[in-house]
Amino acid sequence: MKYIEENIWLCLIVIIFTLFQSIFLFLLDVNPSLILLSGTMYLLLLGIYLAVGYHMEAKKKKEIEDLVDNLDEKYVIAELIKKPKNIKNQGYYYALKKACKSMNDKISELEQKYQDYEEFIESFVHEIKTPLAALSLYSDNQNDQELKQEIKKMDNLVEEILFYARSEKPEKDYFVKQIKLSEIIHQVMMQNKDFFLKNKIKIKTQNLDIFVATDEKWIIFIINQIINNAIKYLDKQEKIIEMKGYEEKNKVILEIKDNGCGINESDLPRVFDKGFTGSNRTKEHSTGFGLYLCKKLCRKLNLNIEIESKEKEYTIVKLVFPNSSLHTRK
Amino acid sequence: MTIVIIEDDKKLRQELKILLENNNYKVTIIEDFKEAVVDQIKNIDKDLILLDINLPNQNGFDICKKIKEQESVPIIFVTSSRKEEDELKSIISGGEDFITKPYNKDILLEKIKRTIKQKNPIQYKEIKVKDVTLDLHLSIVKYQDKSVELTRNEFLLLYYFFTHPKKIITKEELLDYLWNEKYYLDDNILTVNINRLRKKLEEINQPDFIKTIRKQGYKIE
Repeated sequence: MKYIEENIWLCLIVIIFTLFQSIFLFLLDVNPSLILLSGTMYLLLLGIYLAVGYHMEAKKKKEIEDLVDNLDEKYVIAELIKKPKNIKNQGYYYALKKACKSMNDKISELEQKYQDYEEFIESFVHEIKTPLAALSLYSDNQNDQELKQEIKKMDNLVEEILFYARSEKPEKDYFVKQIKLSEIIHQVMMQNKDFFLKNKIKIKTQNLDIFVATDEKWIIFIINQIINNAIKYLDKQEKIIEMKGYEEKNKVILEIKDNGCGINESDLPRVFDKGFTGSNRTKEHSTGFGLYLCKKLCRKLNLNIEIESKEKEYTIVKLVFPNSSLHTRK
Repeated sequence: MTIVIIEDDKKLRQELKILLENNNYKVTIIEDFKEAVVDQIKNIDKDLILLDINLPNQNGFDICKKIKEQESVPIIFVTSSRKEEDELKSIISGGEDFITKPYNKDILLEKIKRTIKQKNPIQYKEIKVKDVTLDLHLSIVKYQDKSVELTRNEFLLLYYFFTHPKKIITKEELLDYLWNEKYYLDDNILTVNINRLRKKLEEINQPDFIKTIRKQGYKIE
């Protein structure tokens, strides 16, 4: 119908012309059946023209739509479609070309800006680590535990910045290798040793001699975030953090359990959301970024992260390492 | 043991020096980065080098390569970069190990200890203190004709005592050591373990082998 509407002038002209010709021929006393025949011929021709035209236009439309649907980056479409012969379509074509070009320019501008930003973050983090290292050693030498804890917090935040910037990066910048869970956990333990000892947190480890294939630094960051999160909500007299590894259906699972205050059932689905700090867990400062970032990094590393909790009793975070063909038990 | 520190941040190298000296290492620091570092350290007595990657006028990887051409002193890279490629470069240029800032004191000390140990392996089969023998292969402790088997953490504890005889060993020191060995104990569990160890020593007629020094720690002699 739309198509007839578009060609309305042609239709009207043909119909009017047919009408006039019929009247003219009638006045010339031509046989009415002949007039009827010629009139029908004209209208039939118009009908065929419209039908064929519609069919071709529809086909072209479908072609363009399919082309776009099959593209990953839709904005390159302007480079792929042929320049139309139709004058009106040439206008659209021109508009499309210009729009895509300006968008591409905008994208590369943003990409450049983002890259600059990321480089800045990298170098900033890099630079700030030297004074942090000096301070950290100073606190060790002075045996100032309080200062040391504060420096540790700063270092964690700085790491968060770095990994956030990295997680936004489109390309991969990690390096997967075989590593034992116990080695990974050991590094996290050593980083938090003073805090654990000072706060009398019991550490239980079980069955960590399993190999997984992952990026060492990223996974350490992720586990560190999980542990730091767990530490914040330990509220019992006897504080326990348990880590255990096991294999299940071609997967290796690392379970980190704390006996802290747990998470409200209604909050549970939201803990991985950006900026979520809990509806009633307002104590301790938190950026609300920790677990969100963990989830994001896990997705990049192809890991699954799951959380289970019973309020007032415990929280379990599970890291699921897929694909066992690479994993071998020692 | 002498350690050479090559680090351009003044505060950092001072604190490193204090830390290492507190842990009974001799320390030499390089302060002049206008001259080539390689020439400066040529004639210094050293067992290990801590080397920063980003230095003014020169680069840690090149320094490492040049040093390795001349002598086989172990080198640990210290850096604030966390990039894989730097880690890779440090291995290619011949570095023994790699640690990132801000370093954890315990990890740094442990890495230093391990690196030096690797270069100078000393293989004992057993250690003897006051006629009590610790068998390192079978993890048993013997006195006269009696012997008793030890669990892994009892063995580790006793090993530490045997390798530091006549010294007062604090609980913190023992905890540091055990954590490095992947035993994440707390104060109370450590006491429990020491008591268990004493019971075992009682079986071989050495109940007072580990002495408690009030408010300080433990000692064997």
